Amino acid sequence: MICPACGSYNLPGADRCDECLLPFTKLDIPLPTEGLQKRLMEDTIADLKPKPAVTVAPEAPVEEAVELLKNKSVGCVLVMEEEIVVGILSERDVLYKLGGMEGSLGSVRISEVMTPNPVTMEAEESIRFVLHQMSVEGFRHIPVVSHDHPPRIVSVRAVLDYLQQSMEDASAEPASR
Amino acid sequence: MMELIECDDVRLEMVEIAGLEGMSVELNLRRTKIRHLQLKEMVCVAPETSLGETIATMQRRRNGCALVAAGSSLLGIFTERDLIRKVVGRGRSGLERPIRDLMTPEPAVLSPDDSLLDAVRLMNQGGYRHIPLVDSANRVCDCLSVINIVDYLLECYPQEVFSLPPRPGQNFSEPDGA
Repeated sequence: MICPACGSYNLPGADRCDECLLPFTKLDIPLPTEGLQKRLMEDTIADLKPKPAVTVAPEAPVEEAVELLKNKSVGCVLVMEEEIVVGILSERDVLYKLGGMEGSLGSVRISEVMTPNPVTMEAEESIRFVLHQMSVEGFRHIPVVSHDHPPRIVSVRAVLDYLQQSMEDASAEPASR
Repeated sequence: MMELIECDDVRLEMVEIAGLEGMSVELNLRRTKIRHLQLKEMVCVAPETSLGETIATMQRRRNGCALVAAGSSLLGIFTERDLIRKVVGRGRSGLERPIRDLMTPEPAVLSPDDSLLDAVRLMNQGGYRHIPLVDSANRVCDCLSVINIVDYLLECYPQEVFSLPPRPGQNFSEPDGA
């Protein structure tokens, strides 16, 4: 590639210019253009409108979490210990770890079945991180934390909603091409 | 262009659609049919299968949703949500009960020839995460999951999404291999 600063030729894929040492890595980041691509580049996690998380304590009995999943119609509960997210318990965990259990859940504690130390994100980060995590790792819920907010959750349903919304906005705009 | 879209070579078509620059995503969604996606193999059980066996199958196949069908005609769907609502924590959960009693009967279905846009709309409207696919002869053939759609959309933006580090702020000071 041709260095934009000094104009000298470099091998494709070089990390910085051989002549003037200008780093090329920033040039790899795509520039926002239009439509969904633009929104993906510019929107933040806050635009997915994360919902307040339902929280439980790690030593609580797992029945409590199941009740919350059922009654609050949520797909996961956040396990919090002194304002810190220590785990997440989703429908998937219930299926995998409690699915075949006969009888009552009795003495099982949430900390035994939760997924510990989930990846958390901040609301100011790009929406692309959430999409990346969901697609690559298969997570359907990602906790969003910040200093001045109670923890929130973004779910795959919010993502689908967002995608449909941005497509409808795009088709409502006058056709530019 | 149109010949490519109409031809049967699905793989070629997918590459072509994903690679088209300047083509709106909505158009892609309208044109792409559900059968063009690579779906996970569905979990399908008979109505008299016991709950315990159904759950074991879902666990083994790592799938959050099982279709209930007699022969090839769809009767219902059993998902993680049903498990939470009707089974877990209900005292003696009765793993012997047939799945017929616990499934959600007559779920909303789509045909593999419906477009992805139809699927997005139906999922948003009904709040579904799984939609069974039924062909024109009413035979159950697959199950579409919400993550398949997210995956499809992201495949249109490999550079924007998949080239990111997994977490924000994860910077690599050394270039790879150095």
